[in-house]
Amino acid sequence: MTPDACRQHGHDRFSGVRANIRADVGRYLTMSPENIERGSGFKQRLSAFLRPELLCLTMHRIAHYLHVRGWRRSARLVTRINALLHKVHLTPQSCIGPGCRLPHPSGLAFHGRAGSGLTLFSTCVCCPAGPIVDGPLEVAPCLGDDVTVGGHAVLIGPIKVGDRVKISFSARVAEDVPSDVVVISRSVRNRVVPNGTGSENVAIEGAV
Amino acid sequence: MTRVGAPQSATPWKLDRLRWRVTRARIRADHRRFVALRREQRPDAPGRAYLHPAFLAVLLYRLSNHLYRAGHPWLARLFWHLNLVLTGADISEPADIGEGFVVPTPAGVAIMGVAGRNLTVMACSGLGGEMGRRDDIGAGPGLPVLGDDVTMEPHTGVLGPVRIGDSVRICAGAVVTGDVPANSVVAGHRIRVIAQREESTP
Repeated sequence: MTPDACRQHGHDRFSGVRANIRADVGRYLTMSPENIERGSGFKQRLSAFLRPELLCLTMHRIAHYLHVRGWRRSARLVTRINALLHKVHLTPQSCIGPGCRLPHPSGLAFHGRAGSGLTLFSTCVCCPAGPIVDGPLEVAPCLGDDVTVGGHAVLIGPIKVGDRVKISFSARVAEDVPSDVVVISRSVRNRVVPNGTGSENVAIEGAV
Repeated sequence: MTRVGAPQSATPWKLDRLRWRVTRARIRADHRRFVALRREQRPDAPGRAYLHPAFLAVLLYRLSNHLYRAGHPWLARLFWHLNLVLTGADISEPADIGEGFVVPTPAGVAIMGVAGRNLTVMACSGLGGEMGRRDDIGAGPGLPVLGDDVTMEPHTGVLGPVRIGDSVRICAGAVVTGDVPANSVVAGHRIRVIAQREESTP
C-alpha cells in the first residue's frame, strides 16, 4: 500500500469513486450464501446501499474524493455529517480501497491507509499515537489488502500491516505485522470465578 | 499498585457552584489545547474548531456541568442528552474535569469521575465505577480520581475508586482497577502472531 495507491483506486475521479462504491455493494451482496441467493438485482443493490454500513462508507468516499480534489472545507462538512449521523470518525484524508465492509459502524475511528477488501468490525480504532486523530497519514497505520480487524481492536501509531492479515477481537497492535498472519490478543480468554464470594473483587483487581 | 482501603473521606459528595467566569476560562483552555494539538500534527488546520465534534463534546459537557452545579439538574441533563445525540459521547454532568480536556473521537466515550488538567480520552475509553466497590475517595462513591496530564488511549478503562497520579499514560486496551503512581505507563495486554495458512480461518 503506497501513497499513490489512492490514485490507483481512482479516488481522484468521480467514476473511480462510483466503482469503489459498486465494489462495496458487490462485496456486501456476496458476503454470505444467503446474500448470494438473493441475487444482485436492482432492488437488492438498493437495499444494500441504504444500509448504514454502506451509507457511512459512501459518505466517507465522497468526503475523501472532495479532499483529494482539494475541496477540503466541503470534505470536512461531509465528514461532520457522517459523524453526526453514524457516530463514525472516518477522516476525509484516510484512503480506503474498494470492497470495504464496516458491519457495525457506530463508534468506529479510522485514520490511515488501507488496501482493497478491508473489514472493520465494531468500534475498532485505527489512529496515530497522538491524541488528535486528524494529522498527516505518515504517522497513521497503513494496512495492506484483505485485512480484517476484529471488534474493539486498536491499531495505533505509524505501523505497517501486510496483506491478508486477520486481527482478533480486542487486540492492541503497535508494531508492524507481516503478511498472511493472524494476530490474536491474549486477553480474549477470560477467567470465570464465582460471584458473591469476594473472590470476584480479587479477580477484578488482579486484572491490571 | 495498592488496593484502595476504607473510605477516606466521610463527607458526602458535593460539588460547589462554579462561577461562569471559571467555566468560560475552562472552555477557552480546552479550545486552546485542542487547536494547539491539532496544529502540532497539521500546521494547515484551521485556528478555530467550535464545530469539530471533539470540541463540541467538551463544550456541551462544560455547559451541562455548569448548569448541574448551578442547581439546574434538568437543564444539565438536556445538554448531556444533546451531547449524546450530537457527538455520541456520554460525559456525565457531575464529572469534575480540569481545563484542557480533549476527547479526539467522542463516539462511544463514557466518563464519570474527577480528573485534573489536560486529560486526554481517546476513542471508546471510559472512566467510571459500578465495579461493586462503593468507597468514596473524593469523586463520589466508587469513582476514580485522576491527576494532571493523564492520557487514555483507545479502548481503555479506569474503573472503581482508584487514584491515578500525574502524567500517566494508559496504553490501548488496558483496564485499570488499582492505583497507579505518577509518571508511569500502564501497558495493555500483549498480542501473539500466528502464521496463517491458506483458507485456515481462526
